[in-house]
Amino acid sequence: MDQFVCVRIVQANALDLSLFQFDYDLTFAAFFMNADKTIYGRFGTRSDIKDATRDISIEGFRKALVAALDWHKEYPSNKKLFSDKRKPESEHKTPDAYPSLRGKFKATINYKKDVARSCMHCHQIHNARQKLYRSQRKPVPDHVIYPWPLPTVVGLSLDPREMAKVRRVTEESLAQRAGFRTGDEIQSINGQPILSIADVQWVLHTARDGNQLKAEVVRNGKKRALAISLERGWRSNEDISWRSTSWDLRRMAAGGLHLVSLPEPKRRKAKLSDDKMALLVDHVGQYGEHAVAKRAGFRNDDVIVSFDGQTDLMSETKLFAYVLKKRMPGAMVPVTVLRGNRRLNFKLRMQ
Amino acid sequence: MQFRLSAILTILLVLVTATAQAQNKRDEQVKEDRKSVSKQGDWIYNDLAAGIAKAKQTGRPLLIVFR
Repeated sequence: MDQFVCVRIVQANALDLSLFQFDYDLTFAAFFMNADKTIYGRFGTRSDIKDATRDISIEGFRKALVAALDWHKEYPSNKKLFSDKRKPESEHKTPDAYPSLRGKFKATINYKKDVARSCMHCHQIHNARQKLYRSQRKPVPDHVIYPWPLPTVVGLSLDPREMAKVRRVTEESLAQRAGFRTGDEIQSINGQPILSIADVQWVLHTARDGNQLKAEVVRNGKKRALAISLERGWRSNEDISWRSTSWDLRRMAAGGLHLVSLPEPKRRKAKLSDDKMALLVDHVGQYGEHAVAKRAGFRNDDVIVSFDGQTDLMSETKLFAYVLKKRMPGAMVPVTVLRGNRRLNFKLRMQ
Repeated sequence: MQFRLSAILTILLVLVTATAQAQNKRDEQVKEDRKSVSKQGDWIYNDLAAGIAKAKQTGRPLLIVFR
């Protein structure tokens, strides 16, 4: 660590979004960077609301630090390799340019008064992106609905104790079709050197349907070239329900309901087949715009079996994605729920 | 009716006080965090420009952590 200049940033206020793009739902995010703002790599991955350390480890972080130092020693002869680690991907250069954040925060934290309130949180940036599309009444694109996809979305489970070593390849996944195997060490993707799972996520985050990801891996000491083809809708297997930014999606798409898949025993008891939608209302929002479902008549333990005529929205994430793409704010959506032995119909206003 | 109104007002007062206390505690934690990190001296606290200047001066790479 003492070979780095260590900087801790505690606010998102006035953040340069052309430079600092990372998963804004993280507990922490790290950048390895040259003084000329060339990014060597990123570190920090999360996939669960409770277990913040499932996808990171001290060993993995140490290996990433060592790799960054090695690349820094070779710099600038290797500068070209890092050119795609920055992309002008955001709609605005700073968070306060987003309409929903405009005028709400100063450029820095106010340490004299309302310290915490004056601090823009990172997740507010992603929320502002979601709101931007909704306020413009435009379908939210996949790369905003499913930000920073985990490598598991293409079938790669990576070992958090390593930089980017394959721990498992999912059967019949895009990665298996591309020829990935357990133990493969990913060296680069599309020419970008990889030092962490977060680096793989960056490549996935900036990829679009139809793109091909050309990976160089080391297998049994030998280099191999593999290519993953990203078919249409590849991101939609991602689960976003754990994200703190999904809290506001519950307001937009479900009137403040928190939904979970109906547990198997309850599904059997209700005589619902496995391929039918059954989303259990785990919590009903109580206040303001999060109480739209409450006011419409929804209650805890209701089971949603049909939403806007759809019966194949098998998870909360699928329901979010359906609304964000197909139903604009103000639309009244018919919803059917099971409450005990009764079947009830409600109308739910989208926001 | 009057009893009900005063009960509601009491609950509101308790809620407002609790929220204010939580806010104050959080403010103190943020201030304390800044003080302790700055005192240790290993990290540059919340000042990217200073970090970049030091990296240029020393030739070292930057480790920037958002937390």
